[in-house]
Amino acid sequence: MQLTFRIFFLFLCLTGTAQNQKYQSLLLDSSLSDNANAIVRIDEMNIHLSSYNEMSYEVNQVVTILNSKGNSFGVNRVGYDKEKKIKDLEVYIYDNLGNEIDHIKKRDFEDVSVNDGISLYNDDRMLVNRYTPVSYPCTIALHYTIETSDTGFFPQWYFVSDYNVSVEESRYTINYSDYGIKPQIKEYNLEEIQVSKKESEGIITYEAADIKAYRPEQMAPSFSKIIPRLRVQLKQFSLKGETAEFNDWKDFGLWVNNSLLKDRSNLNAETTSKVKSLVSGVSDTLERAKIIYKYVQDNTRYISVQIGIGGWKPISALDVDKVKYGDCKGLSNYTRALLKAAGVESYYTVIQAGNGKIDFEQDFAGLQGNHAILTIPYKNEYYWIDCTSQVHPFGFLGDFTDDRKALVVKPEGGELIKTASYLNEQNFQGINGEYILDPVGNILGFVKISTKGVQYDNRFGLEKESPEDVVKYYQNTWNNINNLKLDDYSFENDKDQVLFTETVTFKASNYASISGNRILFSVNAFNNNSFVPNRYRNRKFPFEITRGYLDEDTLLIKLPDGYKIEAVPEAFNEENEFGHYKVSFEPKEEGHSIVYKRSLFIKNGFYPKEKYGDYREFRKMTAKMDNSQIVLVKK
Amino acid sequence: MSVINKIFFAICTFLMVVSISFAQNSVEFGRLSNVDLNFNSYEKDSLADAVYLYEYGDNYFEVRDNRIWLITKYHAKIKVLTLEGIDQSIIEVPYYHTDKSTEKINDLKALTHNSGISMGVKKSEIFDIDVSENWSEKRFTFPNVKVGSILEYTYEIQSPFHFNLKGWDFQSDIPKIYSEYNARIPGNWVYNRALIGERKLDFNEAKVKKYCFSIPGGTNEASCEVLKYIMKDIPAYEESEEFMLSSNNYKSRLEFELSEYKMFRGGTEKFTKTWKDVDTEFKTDKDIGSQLRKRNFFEKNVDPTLFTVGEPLDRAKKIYSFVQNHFTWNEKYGIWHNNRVKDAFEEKSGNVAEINIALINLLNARGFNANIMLMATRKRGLPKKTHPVMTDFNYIVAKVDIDGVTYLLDATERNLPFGMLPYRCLNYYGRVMDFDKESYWYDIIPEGRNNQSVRMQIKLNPKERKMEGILDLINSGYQSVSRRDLLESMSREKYLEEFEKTIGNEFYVNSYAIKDEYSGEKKLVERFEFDVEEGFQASNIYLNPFLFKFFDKNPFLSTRRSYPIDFGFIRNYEYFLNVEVPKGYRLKELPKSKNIALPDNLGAIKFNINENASGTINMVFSFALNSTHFDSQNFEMIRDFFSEGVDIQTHSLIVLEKI
Repeated sequence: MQLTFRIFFLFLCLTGTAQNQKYQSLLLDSSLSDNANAIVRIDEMNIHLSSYNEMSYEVNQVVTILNSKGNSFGVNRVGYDKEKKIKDLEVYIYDNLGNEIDHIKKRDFEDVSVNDGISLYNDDRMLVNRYTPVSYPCTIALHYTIETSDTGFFPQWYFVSDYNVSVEESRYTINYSDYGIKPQIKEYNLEEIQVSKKESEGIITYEAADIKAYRPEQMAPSFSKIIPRLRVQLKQFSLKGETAEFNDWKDFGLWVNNSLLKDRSNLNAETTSKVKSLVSGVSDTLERAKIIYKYVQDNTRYISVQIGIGGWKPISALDVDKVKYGDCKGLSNYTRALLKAAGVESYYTVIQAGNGKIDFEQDFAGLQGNHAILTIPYKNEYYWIDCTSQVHPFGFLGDFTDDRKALVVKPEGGELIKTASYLNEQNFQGINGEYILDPVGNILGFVKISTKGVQYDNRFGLEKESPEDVVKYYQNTWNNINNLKLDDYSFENDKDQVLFTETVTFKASNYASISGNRILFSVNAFNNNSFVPNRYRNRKFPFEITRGYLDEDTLLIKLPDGYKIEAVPEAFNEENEFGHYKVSFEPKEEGHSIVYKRSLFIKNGFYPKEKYGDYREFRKMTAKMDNSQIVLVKK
Repeated sequence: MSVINKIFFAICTFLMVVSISFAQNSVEFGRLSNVDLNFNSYEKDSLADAVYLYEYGDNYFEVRDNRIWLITKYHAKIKVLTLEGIDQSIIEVPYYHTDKSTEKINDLKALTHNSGISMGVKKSEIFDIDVSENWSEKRFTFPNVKVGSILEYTYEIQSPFHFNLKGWDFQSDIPKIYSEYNARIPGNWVYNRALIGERKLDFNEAKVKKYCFSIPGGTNEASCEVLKYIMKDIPAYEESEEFMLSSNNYKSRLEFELSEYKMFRGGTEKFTKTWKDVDTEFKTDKDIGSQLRKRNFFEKNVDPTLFTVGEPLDRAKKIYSFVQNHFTWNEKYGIWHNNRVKDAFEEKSGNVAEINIALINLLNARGFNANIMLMATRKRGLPKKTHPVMTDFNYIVAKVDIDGVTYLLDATERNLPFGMLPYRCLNYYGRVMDFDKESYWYDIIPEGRNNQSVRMQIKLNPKERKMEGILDLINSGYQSVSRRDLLESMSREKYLEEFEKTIGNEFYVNSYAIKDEYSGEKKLVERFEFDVEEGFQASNIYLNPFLFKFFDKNPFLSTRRSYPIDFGFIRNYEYFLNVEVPKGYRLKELPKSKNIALPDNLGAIKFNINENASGTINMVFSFALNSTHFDSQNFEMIRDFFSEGVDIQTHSLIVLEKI
């Protein structure tokens, strides 16, 4: 079989069909195919920078897809807009022998609007081609050239683009025409791989080869924190036709003030007097700010429209006032204008939002961020508000923008300031409840759940759900209780204290297992945390607990008459570097009831991979203890 | 067969005329009635986030710039009742285009009404978005929207595509108080219509208007059929949870399909009329009919010595498996356009039609009698039986008769046994296109034996607080297909890890094997040898005999259900267990045996457990669902039946006492 195969291959070479031997995938390096869904054979970008507002770059990318999980490489999208033009663009598809299966030219690409998933409208467009491999391996060769006057978002470089993708050859070259426009480069995680950097006058090249596939690991830091990559930017650049220059964050802030926010914060007389009347009689500026924030939350909504420089420049406060909607920039700028009219100072703030915390870096000031919020100074402290939310309490950011360095735009320039953080016991959940167990195994009772910090953020949305969805929510949260029925529920959202309280009255049939004279049941009905992180034979990355939390539970369980306790777990207490777990089961009223107490504390922190096994053991233990059972027997 | 009758959607003919006039006078854009102004809550659905106060549509043909256009007028007023209702304020109006021509959206106007003050959407705030090659849309949002706002908009679509008169959706995700649809159709165009869903029309009128349509230069003026259909107080359509046939079977709407066009200059273009017409057209259709005549190609391109010896059934099975392995399915159905069976065969990749037509060709080339069966997937909805609606169909399978037995075949899935269709195809019936005779309806009978069974032996080792055992997992029918798919989707190591995880933390698989000697086409036998560390506490032993659970959560959580439950195939779970009582222990308690039967033998749970004389505990559990389809009235019965199944598996307890 092997032999005939080879001969067949040779024969094809000699007859000279359209075949590209370089792209055959019969003989792949096994160290690169390990854990890989695709092998990037070559990934090359060649940038020519002729002035601060004129640049072209050529991309050459050849990827061999090994299985269906690598199919995303068959979808090629190239974006363009008013400033950015696609010159050449083509894709070749090869089979495993390197025979050309298909050649897709620029005019065969689909030309569509970009759907960013958030915006009502975004004027970016793209050319897209979708190819679904019919057999594996197969190879996709993509080639295109871009010409653009936009240099604000300079092409970045990831030596590896994703998990489970290996790289044979990666090359990034910048040619610049003049020392004055030499880009600044910051390197990340290059020690992970073999990289050679060559630099001579007017040209910088980075090269790397044979990078093995990275495997995703639970609890690992975010991809951008562990992957080898470059950030590149120009001091002076052009953005959608506007020129900017900055050396540090102070300059960035001045540019925001002078170019983006200028003349955007006027209000008409009617609105100004409305604001004045809203805050009349209130002297404290923080109280005034709260009134204005509530007014904005009650009267506006988030709608994103991104056109040209509008991706950075907010729509004017006058416009927002008229239509009562805007995106993060528009609503932040509008709120800032209202606050100003109310005599409250606030600063427009640019931030990288998302569940992962990404800082703006002090030593590398450049265009970045995907969100805008407001910073309000008050008595030597800062308060933050997100004007796109109609529901969050004043000064509460949640896990979308917490605990990260953001650019606060003050009149005298920009400044990096860390936003409010929610860590450890600040993310609190308290459960207090009582339930009665009857002799046939049914339970009946109530439970009160209070949440703070990020746990508040996870729960307070319940308030807005329909009764049907609320019931479903509890059925899913307490899926250890089959047949759960809610008799009643109520919510209290204390926005001042940022405290959410749920009170639920419930019943459930057959909660306990009955066997002859014995009843067995799991005590911890409402906080059964079965999370155990995955096992890795060879873990590569450190692990991170990004926020931490504290859960405290107290339950009083009334036992059925005529039964006594046959088996009850012993109290248990463990404290370690990851937090603690404490649990106790205390009989009361001569064995007629049991008081169950539990405290689980998970500490935020960054831990080396060697500790991962210990953490896993800890969570195995907590998962097991959370499932502790009590056995009753008929007297 | 009674099941099939039950799930038919209500199709009404349009001859009954309700004479009471319900119709509102045509409503002028921008003017609110007193009823609109005083509307504050919708009593019929107090939880609604928003409600259509009024919705109006009109279809007619008109000559503009010497061309005949299909015109659609639309006008709606939506009242926002809650904060969530504000989501209704983003409007998308899609329009279709080809290389040659395009639909146009004209006169798009939108107003937000807030207690007497109205505010419009500016032209610059209406965006044009290219969604795909043939579809674009106008998109906008209303300004100044708050709870209590009335959102009103109107537009016209001017379309060169006359087949795009598709009908009217009465039901949507928010309720409607009043929805009216009009059409004025010159006699030159003939459309088939159907009313889908259980709701009846509140008003229904068809009149003939003479001299209503003419083309420039034409002498005759055509008569029109003038139609008006109204529904009132239409509830919101709610998606049900799992095990559902397509919502297209239930959502209230009117469907039109162009069947005939009598050209003004003479001659008739027929689209679809009777199955007889369809049968004739099909034979020559380049995408389907003529693709079936590639017998020569397959005779040439498939080794002629293959599949020639053996019993007919064996040979057919070999052909089926050859086609299964030859093709990679590109996940497309695409039965109506650009089917190229030869190219697909050469490229070893194709859509459903190409793969199954290749199968039919090859079967016929080897002397079998195989035909196309047109059908629809579960997601698509049941095809109408009253008249041929070709767009109802989206799938093709092969029907072949061998030794008096009929088999339905689909070669797109590698793990599918001969004679079984994939789950997506378990949609009750299809139309067999027999080119020698007439086409006919044919029922899809799903595989009847779909068991998952567990045979387990456990030994307890109290000294080391360990359990050891053997678990044989036997899947048959559809259960074996999904198990094989699962096995192939991940590495063996990952598969076992996932298996360990579903059972519990301290469960470890020591050895694993697929028992090929006991497995077959429709059966897969796996053996797991395992141990469980810290399986129980030290003194008395409390053991849940269901180490393995078929399901530990009820798939039905809702309190009510509006639409039928459809499982696709009947299913059966069985569990046989032996546990030896270890030395130094005696049996103290066993869970209660239980027998539950649903009426009419629709389902049954049997649970028996006892200790035999030699000190071994034997357990037998079975959970059988003997019907695939249950009306929404039976929802509670099914929910409680599953709940019993969950309770037994999660809450059974054996107590062994230390002597």
